[in-house]
Amino acid sequence: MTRVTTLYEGGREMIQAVTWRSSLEEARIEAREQGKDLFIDLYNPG
Amino acid sequence: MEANTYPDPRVSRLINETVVPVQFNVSVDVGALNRYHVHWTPAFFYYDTDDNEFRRSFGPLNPDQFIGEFWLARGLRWFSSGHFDKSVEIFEQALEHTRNDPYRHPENLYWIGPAKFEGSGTLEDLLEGFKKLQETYPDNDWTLKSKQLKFD
Repeated sequence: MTRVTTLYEGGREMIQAVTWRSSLEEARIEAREQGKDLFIDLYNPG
Repeated sequence: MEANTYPDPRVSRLINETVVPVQFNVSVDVGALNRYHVHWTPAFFYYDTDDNEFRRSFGPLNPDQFIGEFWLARGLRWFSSGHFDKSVEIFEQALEHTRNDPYRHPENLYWIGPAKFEGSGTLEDLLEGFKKLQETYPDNDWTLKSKQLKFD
């Protein structure tokens, strides 16, 4: 699943937040299609 | 990272435009730590789509540190996959992003030499790259590595 978050400032779109994917396999397919690499972040919110 | 680094527009733009980012919350996906052989977070990894890892980093980074780290990862991605001209291009662009980082700038200077040398086969390219490192950071660990060349 792709989570897209857009930040707004003054009612105008300003910043495209990082669009994190949660499925490595889907991300790999997408990266191949776009000729990109993968950046993987492991985090612990606690 | 979530509060300060990823929301930085320089960071989010760099990530969104150059890679496909994947995020795993290890408190939910507990297997992620084993899959990547780590026991500490935050942890970052730069991979190609053939499952080749080119760089990993641990611990939080501020936006400037992250950008420098990311550019080094990109340079090493091309260097380690044998695309030396591309890696020179990336490492030289990276200098703009690492120049105020006393941890990453020496490493950035170091890799320019090997990248140029592997592309050209010319020893002078390697030595010239190392010379800039040695002049700028005479006592750095990367400088010491650059002085351990042995010639047959």
